[in-house]
Amino acid sequence: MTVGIENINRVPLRVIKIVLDLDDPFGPELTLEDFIRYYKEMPQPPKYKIVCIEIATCTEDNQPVLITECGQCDRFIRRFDGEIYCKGFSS
Amino acid sequence: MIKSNDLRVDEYFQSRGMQPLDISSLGLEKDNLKPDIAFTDSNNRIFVKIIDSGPLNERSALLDAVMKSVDFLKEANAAYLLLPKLYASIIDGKLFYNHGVGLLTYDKRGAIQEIIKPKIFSQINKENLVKMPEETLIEINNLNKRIRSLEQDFSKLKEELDELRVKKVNIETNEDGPKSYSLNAEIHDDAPEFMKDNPWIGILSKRGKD
Repeated sequence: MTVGIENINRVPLRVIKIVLDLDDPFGPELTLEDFIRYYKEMPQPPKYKIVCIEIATCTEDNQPVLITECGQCDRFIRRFDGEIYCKGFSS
Repeated sequence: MIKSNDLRVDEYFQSRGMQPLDISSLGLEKDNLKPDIAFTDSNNRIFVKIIDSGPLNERSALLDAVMKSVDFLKEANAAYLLLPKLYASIIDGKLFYNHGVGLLTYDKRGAIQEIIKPKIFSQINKENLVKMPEETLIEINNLNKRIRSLEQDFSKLKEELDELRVKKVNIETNEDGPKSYSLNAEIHDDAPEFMKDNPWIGILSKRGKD
């Protein structure tokens, strides 16, 4: 019989800011850093909109997941100070 | 979709030794200070705000609930916000921690979990405050006035004393310099040898006469 010890994983969040061109639906989606590098200016509304995407690496399968997906997982405990706390399992 | 009525919040708090409170008997006048459910552990009053797991129709709905739970601390010793687990991934728990509000989450099955502990604030019970008699208040005012006038007198006296000190120094120091002492002093013939033509004899003989 194997006895497992439950431990808590702390996964850092990553926030990716993406600039959307609302006038041109075929325009490329750029990260904010790339946009500034190419256009040498900040994206200005109403033409541009910045969307923040928060992702983390799932400790179970090492795949990137949205934080809202993470919140639906049974292992999720809380989000605190830019980190996700979730249940891990080590035998 | 789970509604707040389906949650067994009572069970959760009662299993931790708390008793539910009748909100209408708390005498809360403002609506924003009224919790969805309240408990007591005989020493502390704990308010809970519950958010249903429906879609967040308004962008500010979640923020509003957070602000209300912070407001609860005006009337309660501790406050909790109970929200769906999914919403706990949207808001950073540090926000609650910094404001002393506890955070509870519930999952699809309705299981409640405490993920941030609240701070217990020791509040002054308004009913226990003793009203000060009118006579005591008048006496305190009179004493305040007397202390103020004494402080003014003291500062005046201090200034005068400083002035007097300056005047005394001026009198002691002559404009031509320090006082000159006569070195002449009567010395008897039978006086010892070292006393003859000794300038200190003149100086020492003047001591006590000035």
